[in-house]
Amino acid sequence: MSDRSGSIDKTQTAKDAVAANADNANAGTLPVWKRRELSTAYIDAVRKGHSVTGVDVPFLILTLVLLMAGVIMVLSASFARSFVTIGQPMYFFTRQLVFAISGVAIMLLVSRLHLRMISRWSMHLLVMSIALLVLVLNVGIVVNGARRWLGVGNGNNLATFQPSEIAKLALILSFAQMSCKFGSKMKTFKYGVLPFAVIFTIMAVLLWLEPHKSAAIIIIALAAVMMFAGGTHAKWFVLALAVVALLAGVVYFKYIRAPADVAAEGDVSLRQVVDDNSEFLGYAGNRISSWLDPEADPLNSGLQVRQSLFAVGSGGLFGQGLGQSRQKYMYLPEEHNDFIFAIVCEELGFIGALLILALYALLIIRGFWLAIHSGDKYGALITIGIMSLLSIQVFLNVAVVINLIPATGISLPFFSYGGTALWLQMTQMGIVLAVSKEKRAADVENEMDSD
Amino acid sequence: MSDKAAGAGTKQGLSRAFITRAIILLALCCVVTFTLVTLKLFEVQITQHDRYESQALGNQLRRSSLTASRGAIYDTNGKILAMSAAVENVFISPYEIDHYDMDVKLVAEGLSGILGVPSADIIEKSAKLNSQYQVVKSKVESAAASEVKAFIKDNRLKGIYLEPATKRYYPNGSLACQIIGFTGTDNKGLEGLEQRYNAHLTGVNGREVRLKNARGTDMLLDGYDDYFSAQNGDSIVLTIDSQIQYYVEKHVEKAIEDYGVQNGACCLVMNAKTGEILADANYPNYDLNDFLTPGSKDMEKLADIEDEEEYRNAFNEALYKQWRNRSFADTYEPGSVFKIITLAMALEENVASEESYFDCRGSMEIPGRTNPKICWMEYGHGVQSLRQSIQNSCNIAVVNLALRVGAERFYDYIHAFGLFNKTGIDSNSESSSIWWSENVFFEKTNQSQLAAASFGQTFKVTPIQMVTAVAAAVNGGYLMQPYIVKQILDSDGAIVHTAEPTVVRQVVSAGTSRVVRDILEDVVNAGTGKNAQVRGYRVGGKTGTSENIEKQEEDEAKKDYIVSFIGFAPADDPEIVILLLMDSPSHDTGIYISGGSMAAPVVGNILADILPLYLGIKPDYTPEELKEINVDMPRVTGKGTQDAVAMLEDQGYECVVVGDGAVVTGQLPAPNAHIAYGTTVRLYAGEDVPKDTSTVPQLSGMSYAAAKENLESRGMFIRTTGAPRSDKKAEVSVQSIPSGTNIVYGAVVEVTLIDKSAVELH
Repeated sequence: MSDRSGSIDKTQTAKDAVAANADNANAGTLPVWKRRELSTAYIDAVRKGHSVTGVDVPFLILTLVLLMAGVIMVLSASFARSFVTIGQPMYFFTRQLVFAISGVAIMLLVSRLHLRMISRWSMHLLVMSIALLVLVLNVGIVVNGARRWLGVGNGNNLATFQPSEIAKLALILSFAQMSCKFGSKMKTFKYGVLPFAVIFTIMAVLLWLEPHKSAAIIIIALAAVMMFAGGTHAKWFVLALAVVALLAGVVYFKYIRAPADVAAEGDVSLRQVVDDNSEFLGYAGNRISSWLDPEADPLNSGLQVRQSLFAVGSGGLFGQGLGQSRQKYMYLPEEHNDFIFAIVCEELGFIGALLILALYALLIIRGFWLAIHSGDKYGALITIGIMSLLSIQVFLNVAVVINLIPATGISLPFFSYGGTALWLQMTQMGIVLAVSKEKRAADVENEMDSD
Repeated sequence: MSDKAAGAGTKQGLSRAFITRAIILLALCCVVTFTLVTLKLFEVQITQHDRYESQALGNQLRRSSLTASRGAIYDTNGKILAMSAAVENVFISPYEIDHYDMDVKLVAEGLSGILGVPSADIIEKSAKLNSQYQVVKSKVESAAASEVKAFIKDNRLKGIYLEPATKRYYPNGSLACQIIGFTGTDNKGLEGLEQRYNAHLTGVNGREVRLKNARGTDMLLDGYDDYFSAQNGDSIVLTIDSQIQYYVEKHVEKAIEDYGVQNGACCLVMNAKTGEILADANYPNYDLNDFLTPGSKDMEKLADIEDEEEYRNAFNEALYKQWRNRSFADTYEPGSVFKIITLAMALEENVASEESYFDCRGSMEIPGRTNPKICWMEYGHGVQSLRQSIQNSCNIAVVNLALRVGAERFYDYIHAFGLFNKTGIDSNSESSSIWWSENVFFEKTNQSQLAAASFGQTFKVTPIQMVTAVAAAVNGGYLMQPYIVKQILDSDGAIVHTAEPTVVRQVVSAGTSRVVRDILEDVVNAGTGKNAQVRGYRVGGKTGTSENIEKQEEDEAKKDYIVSFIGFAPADDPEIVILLLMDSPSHDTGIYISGGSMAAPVVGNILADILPLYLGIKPDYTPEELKEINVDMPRVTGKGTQDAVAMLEDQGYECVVVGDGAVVTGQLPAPNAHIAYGTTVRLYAGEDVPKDTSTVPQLSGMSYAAAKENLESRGMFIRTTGAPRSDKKAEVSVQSIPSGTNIVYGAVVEVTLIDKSAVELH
């Protein structure tokens, strides 16, 4: 693989290269990748500076820009807490920088994987991830009453990670694999619904038990996306939507609206009703309460949301300026983590926040573009899965930060502090790049054919 | 390379359905979610920006006010009368105490122990969890503040803070208390000049806005910090001379004791030429540093009240009374003192001259007046010159003067002397005078109002009006604008305002004024003002006694009087005008209640102390006066006995030598004792000075010679104030050490001599 004529010597003229490789290229016996490397079109592409590794350059650049922006924001956001809790203002930043650089390496490594290989390991990864979900229920580290983390090393000193993150990727890869395998049978219930439903139900239940309800919801949403893209018949989605709507209606009327009507004489607020039904709603009830009225209980469950709104709101149009956040000074919990976007909003303002969101949007659009143009169903499906997951995560994170939805513990891809999550994120980007490389290879092939 | 997308899509068999679904998903992922987020983001960041930002700042900013240091108040010589000192306010942040799980009980009890605030109050304040600022105690002095700091440190507490503040101190306690006034807990002037000049003294508070992190310490980056330094208040320099004020207060306090004055007193000293108030003492008075406590006498009375509401009312009344600057705020009937004004206007109107004579038969017919008895001298003063009339304080003569002037012109002069209007002195509490309406006063058929007014009755003026008017009558005719604040200094000490003496108008001519002065000097030299004489200085003045008409008391023994005396010196070129009035002296002192017998000697004493000080010239004694003064006993111990006797006799002393030693081994009185000229001193030659005690006798009513002999026979010595010792009618009115006191040999008793005839009868 290292013998790449394209990169040998740029002083060599194109003509010479074409001449030297013409015979081999026409041999028709070499594997695709070998032929591709030897092709003049590929050399042209390289010389035009489109790609060094064969991956999609716009996607790569968008990823790196977002990553860089994320690392810078970690520096800005964590500065105060890092100083107060660790004693060194650069502690979190330095670590995140290392994670980012290693993450880029991981991404580039993954981008070299062949799709077939990824495809081959999809189901193994699924089994492994379910095993990890079971494992975490037993030996997971308890944080705030939930077992979501697995530790590696003596006393978990090496690394901790959430199996749910792996489960999401495993779901994408395995569902794509299954969809490709089932082909037109996807329209049937037996193939198009049942096996998928079994898998995501198992995952969702395991996550619910941790409890990690937001991850369970993401898994279900992601499963729906994968199935939809994979070709499951549309009627099942209509049916599912109807069931969800019905359930939502029941919950709303039975637990929220009806008690409110009962108490209609008094001025019982929606929030009180939620509080009254906390037994049913569980800890999510608190979250919902504080979402409905973040100022009702400013020091407890409403604290994060309220402080987050302070940060976002004080950003205004242009923001306080990079590094000038005030809410990061121990006011906003998780300011370098789940609530880092609040700091983005505070420092960079509406304009800056839109810019970051635009970067995500461009990345997602480019990802979908790559998927649609990949020409390979498996590659397309996993790209769609990864991009959808990215968009779900970004949406859920930002929506919490701006109090659009009740608080959930979802990190912001590329921005939130944390090594394993970032590595997994970069792995996913690497997979998309690998798909893009495959597409490019296909392009090259097409062009060679048309030559 | 032409048609990549189409080529890839179709060739690899990605179905149109797949692409459609992918595009639906893309729409969901990007368009729907990002639109939702953007809309909400716009609402939070743009629409609600102001609200959230202000809430965030309310959360993040610790606003501490930098108290501007309140300006000082200085007396005319730069001596500090009021000053501000740095103290600290202790406050807690309930939010932080809760946030860091501090032990509220420990905090409350610790602070309570140091600051003396009930711990329940602190616990109550700590329950306000949304607050970051609850003041536990303000104006904590540095010792307690350090204790609080140590308490915080020792217990590693969070959420307890101190911030600098200032506290007002009055180094001289009660000195000139009603003039200076005081400030409330918020540093706002509430009384006196503290109130009047509050805007100048306060300055502009500064503001420090600091961003704090949630743990209450400063943020690392402080781009938002705002610091508006406090602009310290201006200082004011008064015309009050604290030395003069001190002497005035000393003598008035003593007089209140001596005469059993029931209802307070006031004494105003003004520069006759400029209108500067040099001293203003008012009684009852209070300690400026403790203005909420009534004086000890009032507290005694209060102790007897059992009803709570009654107690509270009486308590408050006592406070209002002691805070009141009577010189400006209270009106009184000036009585005979007012004859100065009638005299001045009559001379100015040329309706009388020094050659005028008045025949007083004790009464005269006045149109509209039914009771013809009018002069205090029932059988009349007989025929007297104008000068004698005033010396005698004859009402008949003064009524005649007023009738000649006429009611309209009389009121013109009242106006000209500034007796209708407030003087405009630097005070928020100055009152106006009370006069008959013009309709009544100008009534031709009833001139009794004019007649009564001519000798100072049936109207009321304030002491400050009276002083200002008399100053005009004697200073050459100029009504001066009285003032107390002569300079305003900024916080750097630069003068920002200087008050200049202001002539309001010329009321009478210099010639008239000269005659008035001259006649009034005679009042002191030979008239009812005799007891105000000051050896070595020329003093003019006029006595006054007026009945408290509100009391409606028929029984002479129970009537309340206001006794007063207005004096000025030097009589030929007045620098100082002084008015003393004492409200309701006791009937039990044995001294006839009148301005001449009570107020005049006190004014004399005050003038004797303040004239050398203020004029800067030593008294100029006539040979006769030299025998009337008090002198300092020289040290003769250790000298040869004969030399000592010779020296002392040369200085006017008489000597008694005890023992036969050649050298004086002891002396009585002790060296530097202030004693009367001509005292018989005892020199001990070889014998010990007796250490025995002796009992002070009752001297009241004795002549000087009798009192001297009585004291010296008991091993005590005398000195005098008031009327001349040589005056045949002079007798002791009050003595400095009460009778019955046991006191060591050699003590000096000061007695006030008065000429008992120098009074107006009532």
